[in-house]
Amino acid sequence: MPSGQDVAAGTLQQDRLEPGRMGVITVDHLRKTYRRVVAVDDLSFEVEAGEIFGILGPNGAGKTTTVECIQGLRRPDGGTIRVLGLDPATQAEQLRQRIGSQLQDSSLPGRLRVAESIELFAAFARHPVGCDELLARWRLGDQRAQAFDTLSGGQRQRLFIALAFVNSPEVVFLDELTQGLDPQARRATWELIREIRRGGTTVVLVTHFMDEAEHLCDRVAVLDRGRWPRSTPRSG
Amino acid sequence: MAALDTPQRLIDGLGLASVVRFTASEPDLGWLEKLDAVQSLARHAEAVEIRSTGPVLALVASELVAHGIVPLDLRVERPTVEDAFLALTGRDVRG
Repeated sequence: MPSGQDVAAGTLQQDRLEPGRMGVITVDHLRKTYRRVVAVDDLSFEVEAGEIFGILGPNGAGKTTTVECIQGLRRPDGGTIRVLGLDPATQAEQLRQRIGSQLQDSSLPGRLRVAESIELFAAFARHPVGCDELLARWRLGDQRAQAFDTLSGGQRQRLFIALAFVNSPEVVFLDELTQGLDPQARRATWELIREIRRGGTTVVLVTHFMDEAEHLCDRVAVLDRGRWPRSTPRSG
Repeated sequence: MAALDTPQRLIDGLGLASVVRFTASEPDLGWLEKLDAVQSLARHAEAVEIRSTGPVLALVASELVAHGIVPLDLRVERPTVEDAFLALTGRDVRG
């Protein structure tokens, strides 16, 4: 005879993600406008568990807007989004504990030291990754006591990526992952992203580097203005 | 959305051409143009450029060897995600 507890557990089970059967991220008819500008129009796609999913598109195609809506940072004007079974528009707090993100134009206080920034972000995480482990993985061990101001472009970038992983996310959003990295650091970063994926993390990559998409992504979505650009061919 | 697929299927689905290049001093390469696999052949002095969507490298290579031509720089440029991206989103420069 099922006890009340079992029934509750059964309900909970339905809300939980079943890998392989359901997308980790489901975007259904997403629409987002800024005043009169339509940034995203009727966009639908699904991201599966454990894949590296690339979002490509020219500037202004709505890549960043889409990813911000998925993370609950912006509220869509239409359509529905589910991430790990949660609605980012109303359950952003719960979602934040389970996703990581590296945003464009991130900045930290200039005098904050590398290790301090990681500890600061870890303080908000339910399942933080150890500071030393993160520093070693992203090759920032030698910079741990350095102030953010004094870091090179590549070191800053690696710190932003490291911060995206501080809460052991199930899904991580990386916006222009290797911007400002030299070729060695780019290749090393790709390898780390593959390794992270092998650990079961789903990766959403926003990029305008086509070689990065080709080398790293299992699937790519190409966004363009308008819904179906192929049905309205352009010259040139 | 313009497309959603694996990078390779995205490229393949658009039917973009591969480009085979090599240099040859042979004055007449008309027999290469007659190959079914060759869609177009352009020549600038010794530089030869062949475009095709088929398995053009293997077929051109075997034909060249049969004619006693073994260019050191025979190579193929396969379409990339960037080519697919441009085909899907247009080449016009925007913001």
